[in-house]
Amino acid sequence: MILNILHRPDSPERAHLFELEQQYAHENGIRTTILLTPEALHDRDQVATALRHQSEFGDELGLSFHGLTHESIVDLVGYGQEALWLFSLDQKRAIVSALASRFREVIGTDPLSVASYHLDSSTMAIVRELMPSVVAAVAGCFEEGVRVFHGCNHSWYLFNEGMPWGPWYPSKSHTLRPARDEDDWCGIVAVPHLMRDMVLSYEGRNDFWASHPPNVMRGMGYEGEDCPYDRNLIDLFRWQEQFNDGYSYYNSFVSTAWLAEHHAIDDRPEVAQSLYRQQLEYLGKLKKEDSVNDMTMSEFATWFRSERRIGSSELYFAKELLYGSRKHYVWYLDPDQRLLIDATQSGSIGDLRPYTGAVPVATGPESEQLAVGSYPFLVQSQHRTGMQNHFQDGSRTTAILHCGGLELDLGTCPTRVGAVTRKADVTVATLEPVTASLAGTQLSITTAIEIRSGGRTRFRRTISWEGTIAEISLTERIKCAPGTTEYPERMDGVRGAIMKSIETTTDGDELAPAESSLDYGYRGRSLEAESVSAVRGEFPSVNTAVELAPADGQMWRGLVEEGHLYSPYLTLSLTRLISRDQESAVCLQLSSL
Amino acid sequence: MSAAVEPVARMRCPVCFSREIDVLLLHRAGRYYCVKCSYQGDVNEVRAAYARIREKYKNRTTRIPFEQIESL
Repeated sequence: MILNILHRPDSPERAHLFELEQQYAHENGIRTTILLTPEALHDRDQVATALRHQSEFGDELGLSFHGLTHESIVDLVGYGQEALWLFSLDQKRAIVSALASRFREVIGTDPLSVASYHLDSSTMAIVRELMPSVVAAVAGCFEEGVRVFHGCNHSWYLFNEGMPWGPWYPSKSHTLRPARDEDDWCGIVAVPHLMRDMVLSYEGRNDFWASHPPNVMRGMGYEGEDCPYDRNLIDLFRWQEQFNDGYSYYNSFVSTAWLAEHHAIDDRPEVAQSLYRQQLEYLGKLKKEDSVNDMTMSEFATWFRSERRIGSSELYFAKELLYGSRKHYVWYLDPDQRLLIDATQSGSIGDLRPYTGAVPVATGPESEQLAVGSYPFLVQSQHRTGMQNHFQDGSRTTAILHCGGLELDLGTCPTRVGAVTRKADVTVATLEPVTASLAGTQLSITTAIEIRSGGRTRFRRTISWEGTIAEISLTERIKCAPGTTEYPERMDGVRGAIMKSIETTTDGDELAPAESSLDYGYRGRSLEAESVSAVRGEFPSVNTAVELAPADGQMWRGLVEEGHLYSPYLTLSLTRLISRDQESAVCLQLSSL
Repeated sequence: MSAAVEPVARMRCPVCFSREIDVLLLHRAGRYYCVKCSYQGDVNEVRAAYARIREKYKNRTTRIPFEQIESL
């Protein structure tokens, strides 16, 4: 596993804590990347410390865009705030230019690495233009958004949902979307701000559960001065090497404020210091065992360019660590989509980001999105209901069985991931069989989900049972809602359609598939047809079409359901009768409009 | 009006925290109270509420060896 340890000196009053965390790293044989804030760049002593550590330990010196309330920034643009990505374009340009000059003046070189909680596409382009030396950037916080906004009393304007969980090649038009190819790439290798718990940062606040011991204290996931969770999370990231060509990445980025008295930690600063020291001791031990390779950020960027092709897919097999729930999720990512498979709901997709639509987003006062830099979703079961709990269900995929007038939603059938296999052209997640009772018949259901590049996901299921029932009705379904937050967004321009199978004339000529469609108007209408080739939804706000199509050569009945303002979704369904031990398969295909 | 309301730097409201919201408790005459909800209590009650919150993290003191991740 490759490791980056990142430190961010800021206030002169906390310079001793900067030196303390540097000491922790060096004592354990770990080099750091020191990302200097404007405040630190104006503090002669901290600059001297950073330069000394660069020379003595091989640490890298970079620039942090945090702390933009410093008087040098206020003097420059008239006010200060923390988020570079939320300044206007002219202010972003002025700040980046001024910090580049200041860095060169006091450090004597140009920075190779920069850091910000988020770097939107416009800021990234400015950095690329004004700081051509930069090869690596901390450029996003995985799944930081709605939950943290709530958790910080609606005062933390960082919306970064829908991004890669590990290092990536940001596209030019949306930093959080991985680039398709060299032309699409912005030119800088990005790493996330911390590695997140890939279960709990989906289910709740991402900032409680990360590679940051004081953050875990904020979430209260420790006891006394002991936090095994910190080490468990490191090991779970190491364990991912088997799914990504032997590669895994980890970083930690603890700023000095977290080692002092902090408004979000109900404990002594000495405990935070102790837990951070323990984390680095464990990483140092792993380094000695050759299980961890520490690099600076720019060294990592060079390695990444050499070893990870633009357009590669990534996989994370997430296992729940803290509650002891034994829950499993599988995350998959490539330049066409990011999706989350929820084994506890028998393989439902709980989050789907259709990168294939390549939606351009820049944040700032001039942009339509203002502060929301997230990559939009088509399915998000946490923000948009998911399984039914009150009125109706919301966005998700599921399969529903009918027999004897009764219904079984596989989303209610928890299971675990039995195996994940990765090949060049396909990733397969096979779930452990689920047993359930329907109309007095015991069923055993096996689900396998195949994911391929090009935005294709295939659901294969086999249902076994004992008894006299000849057939069971199976419905495969996706319920979509484009958006970025928990609130519904306008469905203007959304269109649903049923594509009938290709028909042949008596002369043997093929006719174009017949199509019936509806334009979304919140009127609760539906379209239905027998023997369809696909059911389709078009979502202009994410520039994406979704098709659910038969993939087993069988006849499926199609249903497209328009929602209404109390249930603002578009639902695509396929239904057929399935016999004992027969395999079914449907394919979910994303494409740009 | 008295201005003797003392913000306490490192005590969050346990009720708001249970909703994943960080709200600092304020302090007056030995009692802590929340400005976002109706919670109030003394320091021991706050600490006891924190302990109850932690109970749901059943693995908070459990080291899971690398070798056991496969079967987790």
